[in-house]
Amino acid sequence: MRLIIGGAYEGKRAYVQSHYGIRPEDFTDAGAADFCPTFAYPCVFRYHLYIKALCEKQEDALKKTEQLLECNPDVILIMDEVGSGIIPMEKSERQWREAVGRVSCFLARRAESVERIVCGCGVKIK
Amino acid sequence: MMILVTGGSKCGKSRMAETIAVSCERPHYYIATMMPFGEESLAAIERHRAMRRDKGFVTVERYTDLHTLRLPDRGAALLECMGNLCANEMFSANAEHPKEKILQGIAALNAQTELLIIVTNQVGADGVTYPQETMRYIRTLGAINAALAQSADCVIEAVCGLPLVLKGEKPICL
Repeated sequence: MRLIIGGAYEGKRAYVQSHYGIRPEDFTDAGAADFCPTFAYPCVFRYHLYIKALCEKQEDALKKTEQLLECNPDVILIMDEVGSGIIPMEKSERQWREAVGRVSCFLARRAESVERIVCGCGVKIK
Repeated sequence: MMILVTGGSKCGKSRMAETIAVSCERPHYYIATMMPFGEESLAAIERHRAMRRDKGFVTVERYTDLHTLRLPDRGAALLECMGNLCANEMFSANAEHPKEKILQGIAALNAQTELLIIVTNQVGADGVTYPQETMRYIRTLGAINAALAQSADCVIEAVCGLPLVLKGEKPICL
């Protein structure tokens, strides 16, 4: 598994296309309502939105992420960094933000590589 | 020696800071700045306590007025976190010059320790324009972070639990 992180609109998908040869049709939107972690995917993006959906349903994001990795050991996973702002007033927003942080730490430990995309440039941090 | 550890929410800052602290000789002081109010802060405090358990830290709670703190011995001190200390000084103690007051406190603490590790937060990157008081907080914490980084020997940003060295040498324990 490869993890690609960065702020919103930093060029993460374009980076994955040019560096890993992923075609536009091979990207799966984890923010879509029908996203299922146990299907097979070459590349999944907006994973932070899937975590949001799980938080809303009070489901364990780490457990679902483990399932995804079991079924997709070679997936390229793209997610936004969302934790570098003011602590949100809304409890559900706080929980989501913290879950994204914890899941990203978990993914980074398991990942073969972690790249952080800034202005479209990839910085290999693992 | 002073090390600044920054990063967003739940990015592994605490674990990293603890690893650095315990690599130094004892005593290890943990200077806790979070006020224990409300269910969520109590849960956060308990989670951090559990993480520190068996690591041999002496916990010192200090919510404001860092400059008056006197540690009994030299050793390593881990201050967590600057985001809370800054909010406490600004909104509980109504400090007139929170940045200067905090930096004075840090200088005093640094003089009493072999190794000082400060955990801080990145709070200015969500692009939201908040009410005036919150903007003042973002501005003040940003200025404190920049000043701390200037005097720190090493600055590390934690990203997904990984250490990105922004200044100085990566501590060998990481």
